[in-house]
Amino acid sequence: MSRKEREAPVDLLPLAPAVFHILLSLGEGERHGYALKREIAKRTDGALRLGPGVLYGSIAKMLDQGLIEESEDRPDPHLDDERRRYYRLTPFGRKVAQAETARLRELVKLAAVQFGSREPA
Amino acid sequence: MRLSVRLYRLLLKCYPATFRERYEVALERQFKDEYADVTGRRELGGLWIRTLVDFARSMPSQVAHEIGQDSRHALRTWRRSPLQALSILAVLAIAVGANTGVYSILDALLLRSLPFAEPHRLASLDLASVPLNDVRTFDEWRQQSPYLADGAVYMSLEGNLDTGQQSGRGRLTETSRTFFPMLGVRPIIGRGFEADDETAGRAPVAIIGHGFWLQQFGGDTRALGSSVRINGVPLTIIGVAPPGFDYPLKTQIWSPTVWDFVRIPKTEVTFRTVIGRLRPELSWGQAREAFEVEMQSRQSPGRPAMGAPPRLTPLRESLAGPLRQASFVLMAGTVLLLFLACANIANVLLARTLSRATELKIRHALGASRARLIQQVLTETVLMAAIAGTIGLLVAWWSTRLAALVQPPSLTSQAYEVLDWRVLGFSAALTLITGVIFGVGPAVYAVRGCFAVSSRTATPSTGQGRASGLLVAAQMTITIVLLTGSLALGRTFVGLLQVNPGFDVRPLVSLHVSFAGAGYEGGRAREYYLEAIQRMRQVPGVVAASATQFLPLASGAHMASRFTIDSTGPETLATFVPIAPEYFRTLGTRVLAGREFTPSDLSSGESIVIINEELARVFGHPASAVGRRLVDARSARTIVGVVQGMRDSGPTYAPEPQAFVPSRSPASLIFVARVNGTTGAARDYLAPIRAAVAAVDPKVPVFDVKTMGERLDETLARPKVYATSVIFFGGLALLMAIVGLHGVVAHAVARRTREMAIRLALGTTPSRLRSRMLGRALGWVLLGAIPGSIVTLVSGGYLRNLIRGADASLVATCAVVSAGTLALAALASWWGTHRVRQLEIMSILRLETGD
Repeated sequence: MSRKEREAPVDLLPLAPAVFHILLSLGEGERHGYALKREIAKRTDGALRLGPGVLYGSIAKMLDQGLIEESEDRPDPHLDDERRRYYRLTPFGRKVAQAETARLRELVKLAAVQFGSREPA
Repeated sequence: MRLSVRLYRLLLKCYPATFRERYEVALERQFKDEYADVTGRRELGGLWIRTLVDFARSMPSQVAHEIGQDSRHALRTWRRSPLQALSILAVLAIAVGANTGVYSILDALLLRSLPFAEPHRLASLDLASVPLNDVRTFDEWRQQSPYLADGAVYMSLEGNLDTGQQSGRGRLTETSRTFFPMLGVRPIIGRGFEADDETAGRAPVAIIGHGFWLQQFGGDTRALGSSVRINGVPLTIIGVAPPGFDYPLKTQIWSPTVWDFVRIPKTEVTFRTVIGRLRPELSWGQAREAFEVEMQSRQSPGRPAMGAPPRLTPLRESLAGPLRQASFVLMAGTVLLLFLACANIANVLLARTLSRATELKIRHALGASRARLIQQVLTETVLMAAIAGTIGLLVAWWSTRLAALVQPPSLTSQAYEVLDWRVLGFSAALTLITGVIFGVGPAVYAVRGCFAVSSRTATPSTGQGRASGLLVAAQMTITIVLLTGSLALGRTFVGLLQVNPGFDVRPLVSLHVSFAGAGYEGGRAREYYLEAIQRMRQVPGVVAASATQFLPLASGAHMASRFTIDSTGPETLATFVPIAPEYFRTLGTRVLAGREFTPSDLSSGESIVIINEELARVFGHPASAVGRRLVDARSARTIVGVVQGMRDSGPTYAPEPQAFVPSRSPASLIFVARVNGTTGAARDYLAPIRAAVAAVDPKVPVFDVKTMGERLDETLARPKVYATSVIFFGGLALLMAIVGLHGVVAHAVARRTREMAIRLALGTTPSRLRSRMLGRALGWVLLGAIPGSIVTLVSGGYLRNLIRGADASLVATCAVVSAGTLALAALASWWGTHRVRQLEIMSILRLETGD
């Protein structure tokens, strides 16, 4: 168990957008770096395009914090290059993602009371 | 494709080692993937912009992250041996701080901008080179000059200043009207000097300094048109100089009266100074050539040139004066000290790194690369240097304060500052370079140590021993240079303290008065000073009192004339000193032949003179001079006495030929009183003697009240600071060298334990082993000592820039220092090998063979 894992999930909140999106993508299953980048870009309609430096900088930090881990499993070598590194969510990472979701939900609730829940025209 | 990928690979090199090791491949892979999606040039441009933005966002945070990690690791390492870390920090802080301090002085004197337009084109000219008869000849000369676009003359003096509300002393500079325009300086309010202002007999006008304007007039523009009195003469204020302009010598008031010598009465000897601005189309070299041609054409063929040939000097250089050379010598000393500190710390860290070989090997085994290990060691050393550099700023600040006390800058704009961007930049660069210099050695060996065939039975490479040895040799070279310099300066300084100046120092008290503007002309001044001397004598404890116009250690300028005896033989230049009766008895100067002046000599009007032995010797035996006639261009005087020579400018200067005449109508005087040494220190008499003189006439200002001891201390302050600082450097150097040598030898013993155990097992005695190690260490010491001695002897003449005559005993000092250092080095090395005696052969060998 790393030093960071001993921290409570709320200690890491709020998450940077890049980190939350990476957690979100890994929630669906293992991914390698470039796949993560493409998926995030697609999900945000190109609003969040992670360059390699920021992407792997975030990954390094998340590994350090125990949010994700490298996966030893490789898909069929015909389908992919085995030199790629794959990442998956850790149980701690899942808890942190859930905590962030709860935090955002509370925030949205609060905002709806204040400003109403209608979309801008 | 290839070019873009290659460029991206280069970019990746900027990421810190750990991140690069983990993600270099992935990053490159992603770049290639994105590159594969690119279809046109436009998109390629977009990719590169995105990549560069991504780089700029991610690289700094990764670097900060890893530096943070390495720094925390370094701090943990230091905590394990705090004494070593603290001593390294102290040595570095002193070395970096001393360098920064001396640099800030050089910066103030030579690099910082002066408050003039294009200051680099301003020149200072020797008086002999310029016709200074009157304004017309000077104007013709400057207008026709082949090398100057313009020129100006000034003469600076201290005078009695009276603003109506306040009176005191102030600095006036009399200038030609060209002074301000030539320097490119315009008054911030009012007008500058015009041709009319220069005309003799017109009511004098003045431009006042900005600080003076704020102080005396509260920055009120109504100051224009009002007047200040200097030496009793009213000057109408017509302008205010811009802030920061106080050239020359922190002047407060400028008046265009340099051609009208009598307009403002003077009480001291003053000199005119000529400055000029080079023609814009000429370089300094061309201007100097033109200047020399002019000098040759002016030299009269009959009269040989006196002294050094006239020179055209950059104004900045002449403003910096002797401090410039001294600062360069000190800078050389501090740089050597810094190198020494680097060599020493490198050696200590090298030894420590090698003793940490196991830790580094483990880290390497866990996947740390060469680059990672180098980064870690360098982070540690640069961090250490950065902390030391920060503390060093305090050392630098303190050293500039000291320098300002000893040698205050001549202009406010040249104040020595540490908090100046250039000085701080220098300090930061020095710190970084220092950290890298002493870190590179240990870093390289850390890596080599790990990547060498790792086996605990492997003998350490001879390369490591050689590196340590060379560092020891380099330290010895520097130590001998610094130590010899410091001992030579120390000896010279102690010698200065023992020099007999030709007068007593301890029982004397002296003070200045100035009659300027107080209505004392002709014989009235004599009445005043005889009365003052009488009152001084009545102060209890005063045993003798007298007065002079030029007191030793107190006067910057002198009058001089060329003399012959009985109008025959060669002319001799001698200074000319008007004195009161009983002068020599008061000073404690021996009368070698004849007598000294009495009160009746003042009233008799007889032309008599007393000469000192230096002047008498020119004409034969001192006693034979009495009764003969001393003749110069204007007068002939009968010699009534010969006195012992006095060192007028301080112990570093030999006595010069002097002639003393009775002071009959002085414009200013220095009173001197001899007190009874048994009833108290001379300092206790300052107040009563001042009061006694001031009581004669309160209108005559009394100032510069000091004991002779204080004047001597002031004269010796500069040599004292130089000697002390260089001795401090020398001592520190020796200490570092000895500690470093001991460490290296002890470390060598530790490294070669196994080899020595085998040798002992084969029958060698511990003493023989120790002798071998000692011999090897001394070999390195000698290797460094020889070039050290050569450098010292070759460069020793530069010490003269710190204290006159300091290089006289260099050869002997160098020999003593070399022998002493060698002996200390031998002791340190022998002590470093003491562990050899405690080696337990069997346990070592058993451990090594793994039994």
